Amino acid sequence: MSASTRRLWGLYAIYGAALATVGAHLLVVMGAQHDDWLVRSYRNRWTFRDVPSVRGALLDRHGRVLAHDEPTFELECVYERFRLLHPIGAAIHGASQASRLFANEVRYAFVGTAVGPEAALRDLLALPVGTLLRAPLAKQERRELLYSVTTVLAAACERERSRVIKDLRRAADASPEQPVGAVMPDLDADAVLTGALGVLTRLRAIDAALQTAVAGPERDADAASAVEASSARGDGAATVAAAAAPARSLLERLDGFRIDSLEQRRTRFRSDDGAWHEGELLDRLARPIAVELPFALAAALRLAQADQPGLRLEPALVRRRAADLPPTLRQILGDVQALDRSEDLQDYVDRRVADDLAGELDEFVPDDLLPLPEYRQELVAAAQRNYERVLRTRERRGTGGVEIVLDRVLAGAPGMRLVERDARSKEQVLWSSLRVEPGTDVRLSVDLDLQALVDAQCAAALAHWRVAAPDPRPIDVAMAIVDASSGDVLALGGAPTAIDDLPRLPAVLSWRGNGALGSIVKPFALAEQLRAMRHGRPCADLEHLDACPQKWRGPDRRLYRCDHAHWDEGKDPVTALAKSCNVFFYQVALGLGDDGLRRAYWQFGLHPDLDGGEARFCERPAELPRALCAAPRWSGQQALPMRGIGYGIEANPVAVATAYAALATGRLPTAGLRAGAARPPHGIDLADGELALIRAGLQECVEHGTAKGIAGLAAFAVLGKTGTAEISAGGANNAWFAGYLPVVAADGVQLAFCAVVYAVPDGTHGADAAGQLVADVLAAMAQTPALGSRYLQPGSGR
Amino acid sequence: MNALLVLRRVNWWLWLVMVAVLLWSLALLRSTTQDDPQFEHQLYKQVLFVVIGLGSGLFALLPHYVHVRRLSFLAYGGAVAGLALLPVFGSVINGARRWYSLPGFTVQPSEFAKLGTVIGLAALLRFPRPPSFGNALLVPLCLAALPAGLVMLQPDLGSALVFGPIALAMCYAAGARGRQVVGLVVVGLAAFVLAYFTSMHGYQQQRIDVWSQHWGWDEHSRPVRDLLRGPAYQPWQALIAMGSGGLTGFGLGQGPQNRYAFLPYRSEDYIFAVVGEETGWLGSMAVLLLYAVLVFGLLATAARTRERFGKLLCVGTAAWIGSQSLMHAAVCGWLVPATGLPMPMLSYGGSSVLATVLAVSLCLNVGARQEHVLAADGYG
Repeated sequence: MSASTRRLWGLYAIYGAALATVGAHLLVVMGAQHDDWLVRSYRNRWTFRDVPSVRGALLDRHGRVLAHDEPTFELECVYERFRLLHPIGAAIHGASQASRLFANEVRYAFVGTAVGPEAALRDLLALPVGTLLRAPLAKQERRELLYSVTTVLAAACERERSRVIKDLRRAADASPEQPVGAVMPDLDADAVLTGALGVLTRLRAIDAALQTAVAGPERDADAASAVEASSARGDGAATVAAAAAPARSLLERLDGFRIDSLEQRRTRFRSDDGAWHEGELLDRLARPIAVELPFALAAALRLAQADQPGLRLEPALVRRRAADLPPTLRQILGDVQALDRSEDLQDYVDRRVADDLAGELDEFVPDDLLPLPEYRQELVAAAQRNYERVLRTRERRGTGGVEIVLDRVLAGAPGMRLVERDARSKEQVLWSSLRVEPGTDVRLSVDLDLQALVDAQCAAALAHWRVAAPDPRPIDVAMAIVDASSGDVLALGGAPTAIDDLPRLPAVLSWRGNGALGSIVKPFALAEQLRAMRHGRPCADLEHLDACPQKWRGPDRRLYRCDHAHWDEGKDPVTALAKSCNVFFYQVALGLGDDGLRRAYWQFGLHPDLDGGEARFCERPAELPRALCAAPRWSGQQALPMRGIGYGIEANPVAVATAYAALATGRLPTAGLRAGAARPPHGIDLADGELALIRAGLQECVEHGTAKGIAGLAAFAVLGKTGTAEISAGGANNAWFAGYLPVVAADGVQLAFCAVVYAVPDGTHGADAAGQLVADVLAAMAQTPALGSRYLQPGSGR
Repeated sequence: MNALLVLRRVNWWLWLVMVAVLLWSLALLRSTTQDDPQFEHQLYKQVLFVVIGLGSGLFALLPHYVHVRRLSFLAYGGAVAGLALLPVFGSVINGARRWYSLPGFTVQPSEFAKLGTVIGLAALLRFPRPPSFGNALLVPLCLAALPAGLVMLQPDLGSALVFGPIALAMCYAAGARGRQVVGLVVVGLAAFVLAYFTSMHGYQQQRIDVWSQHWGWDEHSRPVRDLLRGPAYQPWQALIAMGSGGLTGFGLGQGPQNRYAFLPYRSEDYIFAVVGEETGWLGSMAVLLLYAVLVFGLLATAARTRERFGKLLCVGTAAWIGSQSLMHAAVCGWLVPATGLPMPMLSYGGSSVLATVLAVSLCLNVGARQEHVLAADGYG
């Protein structure tokens, strides 16, 4: 073998060895590590896309919308795109960079004049083209600066970036001192600057439009037309509007993003061990500029979007309430909030993930979808994580009132798609999907008209009583109206107020403890007396009661008082009830004893519990917010006779109205806020004669008894009872009136109600305050044809 | 020797291997540009380049290669001039000045400079001389270093590096001592390390940094995730393409990394990653074997050729195609740091196709003649 041939064999060997090395490396990568790389390939392109669910609407009992989800838009900014592709962002950053490289460093900003966007545009376009292309710069510096300049020129002249670069090169060769703004062969520097300023004008028009939209929805149309008008080139009219930008305008937010970008700030998160970690660059994240953009403005922005790279509109959902929602109903409905802003929601999220995905994942990520079982498990875990993320970021949860009580019904289940995406995040293939489930609409028992009327009357009553009171602050008003047959809560009136400028919940929602219900419990004590007589249980002998001398000394030698001396009249149950004779009910209480009294109130849902008996008070049916159906309170501290006239027992107006509904129908309904919901009533063990006797007392009360002074009650044949409970010795009283209408109106609705004016001045009788409120409400209903025919006129009911 | 006889003696098997590579390049370009209006013109242009290249190659078979020898220093000088004039007349694309823009297409002179350098070195080394360091290595390497340096200034480090194996292989085949060649390789590596710390651009240093880090990194850690979105994006995506291809690949046009554009510059700098993803290890090795057949064929032609210019022409061309194809494959497998280097004849690019086909055709011309000496050198 010749030397030459040996040398060629050497080359063969070297090449062969190199080829074998490459081949072996590829075999390791493509053979031994194939599964790992395949998983990475999947991770690259397989992703989840989420579809937020629409929350169910809340309707009143007649189907009118009280709250619903409305599609809206959010404006976001990905600042990295904005500073690279938007001519104003590019000008601010390019001019700042050029000043740092070639002169004293100036940080240009989006807000301001001396170093504002106009100055940035002028200074960047004045940069000599030779300096831009020939100055000794690091490659990265030159690339960034050149990109900024070409972005500005391309937008200002409406040219392709490649053409701009060609013109820059040509100009740099021909005349290096020429400003970059003057390199376009067919446009002078002024025309280029004008074009760039036009983009700035349009950006400021968006800023102004956003602020206008935020200022008031009625101005949305003006805001939208401002954007549309300024989208036409050369329109500078909107510039003026943006001059006086309030805090956190679009431009101010962009300035904040600019600083984050320059300082390379990142998100921060705390790990399980409590340590803080840095996450994604803020520059790369989509960050909100404005939320709940009205459709008209969003549409205008969408049209202008091609002109504003880096800003993008994202569809969203917002919970809207009916415009004419009465204030108390607004409070009753509660609010919704994005989950990621809710506290202590891990349990909720875990439950939702478990409930919503139960049995779905096998279908969503089927066994045969992937060649690698381990990756399927990873994908299943990722799907769960993504679902949790969707719940936290896109879904909303009730934070109070009906919205939280009915959250399980109202909340839908977000959808999710497993897709294959390309490098630009564009969806290419749909592999499987988890169908979005919208929430269920809920029809509430509340009548919007009646609620508005009651709220208005409560507000008027509150205003009246506050004027007369030496200290108006404790005074409050509440009224509940229920359907005696079904327990549907028709109205929960109140008057939201502020004390010392702090908002205060309507009384009907805050359930003020009042020390005592007062005399409105007397019908229930009488009912137990009659039952005890029938069953032979211990009770007072009505034939041998003491007459009422106004001051009556009890067996415990204490002196008990009555409002008036009723003498022998007070021994008659009907009269005793009508005139609210305390002495009669002291003796009834003593006869019934502690057990008998407890049973008396328990029968009507006004006692928290009874050993061995079923819970009758509204133990918060699932659809009723806690405040509306709190358990009654029972205090054993009061003397037994006092408990017989309503001291030591507390309940809210809904519970009292429900108890009176039992007197109307003979069955204790279960109060509820969902129309048409099945809520079985409780029997109250009263014979017809016994019930008739009590009803006679209630009727007598309105016609000739303690409520006779309120003519408006008798006009509607109301059967009711007054109550005046002292809440401080010689001080204020809680004035109650509870009752029902004998009329069974359309659809079998029969009104039962309870009104209370808290802390009226001493000497004010229950009838004067609460009875008058009920009369006013009934009168107002009669004057409203729809309500009159709905609730006051006999209908084809039961 | 008349033209017909020459054509009859041409090694058509090698020609067919070259045509196979070129046709394979068209199939791959079809795959890389499908459904992508931005790049669909590449396929049509490449068809044109292949047709022109093969036509030129056939034409290059006809005249005696002695004419090439006669014009060798013109070829070398033209190549150097082409590179030297780039700063004046060249266009900047993606931050580098590597191309002359002509109506409808661009010309990349560094591809022709490789051919010019091979011809120039073959002409220089064709006389047997005492194997002194100066004669056998220093002068030829200086001759190669000039175009390599100009290419590096563009900047195009990958293409510049190809001049090294070409020059060393030709010097070694021409008689340079093996120890001196190895010594030079060691010195070259040391110079590379020195250049890393002194004169490399930041992005070049970054490429080396991420390559050195990637062997054992945790891809889920925050710093690595930032790298994977930045300087490590391209090689990592290429590696995903190669690795996910497995033994048999996804099928032509079916590779997700290719179809969904995760692979940047996939029709040029990462064409072999597409091969790996869509045809697997077997397809990749088949392509590398085609190149190996070509390289071994050219070296075999060199071995059969006693005339030194023709012999060295074949060695230089084999070293060029062999080293560049292996470097490209190694880049796609991230065995070496990322560098923008096309796969000869397989990647999209008219200059590369034309220069490579011409070089191979000249070698086939040499093989068909089987001269002992060239008359122009005064021996016949």
